[in-house]
Amino acid sequence: MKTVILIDTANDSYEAIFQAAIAAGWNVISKAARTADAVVISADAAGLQPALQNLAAARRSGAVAVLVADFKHSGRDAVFGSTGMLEVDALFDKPVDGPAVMRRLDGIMAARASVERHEASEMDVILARAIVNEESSSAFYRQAADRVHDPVTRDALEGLMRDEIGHKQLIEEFRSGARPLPEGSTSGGSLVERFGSPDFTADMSPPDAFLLAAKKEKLAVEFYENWARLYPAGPERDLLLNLAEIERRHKLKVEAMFTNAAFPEAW
Amino acid sequence: MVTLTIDNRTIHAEPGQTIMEAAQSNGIYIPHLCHEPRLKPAGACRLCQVHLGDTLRPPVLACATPVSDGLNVITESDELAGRRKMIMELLLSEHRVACTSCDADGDCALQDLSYRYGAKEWTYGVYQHDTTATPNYTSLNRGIEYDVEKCVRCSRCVRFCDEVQGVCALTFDGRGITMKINTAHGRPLHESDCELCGGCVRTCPTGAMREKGARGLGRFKDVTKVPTTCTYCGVGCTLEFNVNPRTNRIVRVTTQPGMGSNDGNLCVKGHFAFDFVHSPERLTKPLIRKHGVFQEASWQEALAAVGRGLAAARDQYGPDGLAFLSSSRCTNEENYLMQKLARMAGKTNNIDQCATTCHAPTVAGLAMSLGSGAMTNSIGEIKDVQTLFLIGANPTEAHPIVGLEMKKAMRKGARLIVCDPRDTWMAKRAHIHIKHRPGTDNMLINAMMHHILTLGIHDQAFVAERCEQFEALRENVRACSPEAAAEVCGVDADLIRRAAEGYAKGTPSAIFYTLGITEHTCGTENVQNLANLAMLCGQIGKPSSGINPIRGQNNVQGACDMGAIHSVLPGYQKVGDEAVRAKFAKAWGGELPTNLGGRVTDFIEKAGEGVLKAFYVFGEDPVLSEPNQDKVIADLKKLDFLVVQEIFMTETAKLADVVLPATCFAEKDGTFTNTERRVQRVRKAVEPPGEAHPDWQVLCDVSTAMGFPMAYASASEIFDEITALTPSYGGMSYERIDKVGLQWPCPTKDHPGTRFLHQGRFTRGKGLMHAIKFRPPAEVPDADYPFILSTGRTLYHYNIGNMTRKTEVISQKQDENFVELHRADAERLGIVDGGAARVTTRRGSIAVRAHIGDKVRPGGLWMPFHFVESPTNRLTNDAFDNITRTAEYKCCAARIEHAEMPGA
Repeated sequence: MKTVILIDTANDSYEAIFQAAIAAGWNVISKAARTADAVVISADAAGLQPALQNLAAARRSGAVAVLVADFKHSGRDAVFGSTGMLEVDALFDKPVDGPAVMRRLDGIMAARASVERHEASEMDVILARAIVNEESSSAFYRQAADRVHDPVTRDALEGLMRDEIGHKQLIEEFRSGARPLPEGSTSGGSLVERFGSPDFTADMSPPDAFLLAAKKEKLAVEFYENWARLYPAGPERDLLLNLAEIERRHKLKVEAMFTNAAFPEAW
Repeated sequence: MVTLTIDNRTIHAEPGQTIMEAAQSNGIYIPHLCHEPRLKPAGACRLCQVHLGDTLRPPVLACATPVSDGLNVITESDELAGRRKMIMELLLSEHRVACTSCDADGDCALQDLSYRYGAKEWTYGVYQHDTTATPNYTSLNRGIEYDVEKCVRCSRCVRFCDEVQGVCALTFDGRGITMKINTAHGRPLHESDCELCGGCVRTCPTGAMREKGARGLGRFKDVTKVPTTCTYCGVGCTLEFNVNPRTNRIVRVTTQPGMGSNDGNLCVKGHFAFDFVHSPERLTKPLIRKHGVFQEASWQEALAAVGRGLAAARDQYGPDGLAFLSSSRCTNEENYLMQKLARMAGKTNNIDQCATTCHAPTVAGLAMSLGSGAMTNSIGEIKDVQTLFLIGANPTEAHPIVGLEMKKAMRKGARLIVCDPRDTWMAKRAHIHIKHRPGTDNMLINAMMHHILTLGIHDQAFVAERCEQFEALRENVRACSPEAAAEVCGVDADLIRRAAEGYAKGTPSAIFYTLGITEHTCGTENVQNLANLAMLCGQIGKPSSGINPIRGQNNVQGACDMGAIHSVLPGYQKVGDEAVRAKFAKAWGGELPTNLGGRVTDFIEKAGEGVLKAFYVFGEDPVLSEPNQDKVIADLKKLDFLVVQEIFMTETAKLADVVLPATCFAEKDGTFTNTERRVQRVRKAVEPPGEAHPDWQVLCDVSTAMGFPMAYASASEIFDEITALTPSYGGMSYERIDKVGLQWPCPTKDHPGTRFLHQGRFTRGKGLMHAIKFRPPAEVPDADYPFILSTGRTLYHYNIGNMTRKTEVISQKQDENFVELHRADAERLGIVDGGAARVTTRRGSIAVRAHIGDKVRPGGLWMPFHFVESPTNRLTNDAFDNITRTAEYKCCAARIEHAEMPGA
């Protein structure tokens, strides 16, 4: 049975999620447990930062990480302003829609199960995970786009979402043998390293949105490169490096968009 | 890639390259005289013979043999040395060996190769040596000298004139030993089609073609080459001043293939127009007006007077009481200091430069449409454009090196569409020339869009994904059929249709425009409408596809970048943004002003109204450059205090209370930013004349005299401050821009610069389409003034002419004002070609030489504005663009009549 840890620092969502989890056939276990298939944290403003750290740790340990927060109000900036946010699989607004949380959890779990079912091939595992990652990224940009006020920034984030959907299609087409993945190791691009990743705010500008995206792409590059180090030279390593290259090029692209947007000649 | 071996060295080459090209791109020298990387192979000199495989096989010509995989090339052998020696001796037999008195001594391929192969002058006898030099096509010309007895008939000059310059002024005349270079019918060079670009001189491998003005002033071994950036126009050509340190004199100008955006090409101004540097008319001492006349003064006295005059206006009348006009002629460092001086010492945002006079509508229009006002492509991309769409631009005269890139594109098969009321060089060679009425550009563009939409050939996906307000645009152009536009514009509707289809379908298409678009009361709208057209067709945001305003003055881009604009600080950071002001206040050590500030046209008006009391003019001459000259003079005379910092006694300087002698670009270190946003080095080549001080020092001294001390050790230190405060320049340093410059945005130390803008996304997100209605010019012809007068630049002069007119070779070619009018009008009015005509508008009248022909439309007049004794801006209309206050130089109502003799 799938296990989920529920933590509610605000005491306003636990019951709804708990009931939905039970109804969906999940086993809700104690937060003292060391591992679980998923972690759902519902946080108030004060608990957001610890929650994000916990979720990042949970995700790195293999759990699906979900954050429920009051995004419509003060929670939005604090959450999106944190790098930890980039390691959350799904975000939900309060008041929480418990069944929706569990449907999303089930979706992510199903994707992962799909990966595991194909574990006879390391290549399949890698590709399935890559597709999940692209889905997760596009969902992230969608959610971020829904939360900003400036239509130009929203448009930028939606563009990034479409990029991720395109990456997913590219990987799927590669898996079906329809097209190759890009090879090489594109160099250059250090804007996010130089300027840093800005805080997410509902009022963020397009250049800041691009820097945030560059940070996310940088993490994705590092993810695949770190994974590649686990393999000796061979097709799996090559595949992971190719996936890293997709993300690296995307980082360069969003950094170029940052450059184009951040330094206008204006009257 | 192709792999081959040259002299036992394995190299890689591009397929299709010749052996010579492959060798040169790998740093391997093969002897040659006729080869030039910009020219097609000629195989004329036979010196580049090489062996293929082994030395037993007959040699082939490296310049005409393509590379192939596995080729083994041997460039030196006893046999090749023998052949080359023989060729050199044959050449020497026809060559007057006069190395001791030749300006090319030490810079002569004939000399080098003769020495290398031990060639003797007398082996094959002597021809021509004992004949007295006979006059030739250059004898009467003041710029270029051709010595047939030093000519090796390599044809580089003839081919350059044809293949690169596209002028075909030079040709071979005669056969055999009597063959020589000549113009058509042997006309004197300055009376021929020659544009005096100097390309023949630069490409000549011997001393046959040289600059007359440089004769005896310095040979190769006498001169130091100082690479710098040209001071004329916004192209920013890289050139080398050949300076004789012994005489502190620029002897000649050179440049090399592969050097800069100009790839070793220059125009007449870039090659010749530097006599002004050493002109005896240069200002050498500060001058103070006392009792109505100028008297020489010490710097201490002059600076104290300037400090007092400006500070008094500031203290008594506040920020609106004084204004600063910076200079697009000057460096970024100086413009930066000038706006800092205005804001920190003057406590005012009344700071401007000539962008208001020319391309301000570009910045305003493109910023509103796309989010950023800069040229979207690079000069190097022009050669790959498939459809060149020129409107209100005359690049072969105003930006000749951009013109050369367009010629390259045309040679590669590009289609050329020109919309211009005049028969310019490009118009005459265009596939489609729309010779519309001046001031009707918006009607024309709307009609093009109407036709594109009617055919449905717009880029629907691009419009849907990247643009907004499309429906408003569609609705706006619905009534603008080609037939309706034909009536307003005075052209054939079918031409409009063909132009529209050609632009929309000719991917990649690129728009190029200049002041023919911006210098109108609807200038900003014109620019917005061109952006509409580009967006509608998806012809933007890609390599070789975009919208490209070609900037006029050498550093107008940089002057804007540096914040010499009332509303923005360096890097277009808004004055109105409190956080931005706080950042600069911290860096500069004082509060920044918050007044709105104005533009140069405002300054002059406010002076006339008695509101502006003190005016600091740096490197500009508004009396000649602003419209309605008489009013400008009257307004400036009302100032309490006028200070002018200049290299010559300009018309504005003549009105000043204090004149400070300035240094020209050859006397200073710094940077210019060209039209493609490339920041390039300017280097000091010679010492300034007399007591002229570096301008950045003068600006610091003035600031200090006004109570805001400024001090820097060098121009480099100023640039470092600029990069620290200007994010788009943040990754630059003198070291990084040393060779080829960098294009902004370049925000980090490892950023490669930005070649083209708007890839994938516009700066403002979605491109904003504007519904632009046609508005006629502020003045239209009527019974009293039945002509439309337009003004512009010629190839030979630059703006107010105070630099180019100091050059003898140019004066010989063009030294007086003129008016172009149509032959039908001339005949009706009894005006003859070359005779005098008086042009009159509601503001003034001048008499000039008449140039009669078909270049302008019937009812049209065109005049340049380079001539101080015949100031065309006495006539132009001080009606302004609503948004940028740019004057309508391109259209005013005028009348013309026969006159007795030219003269103002």
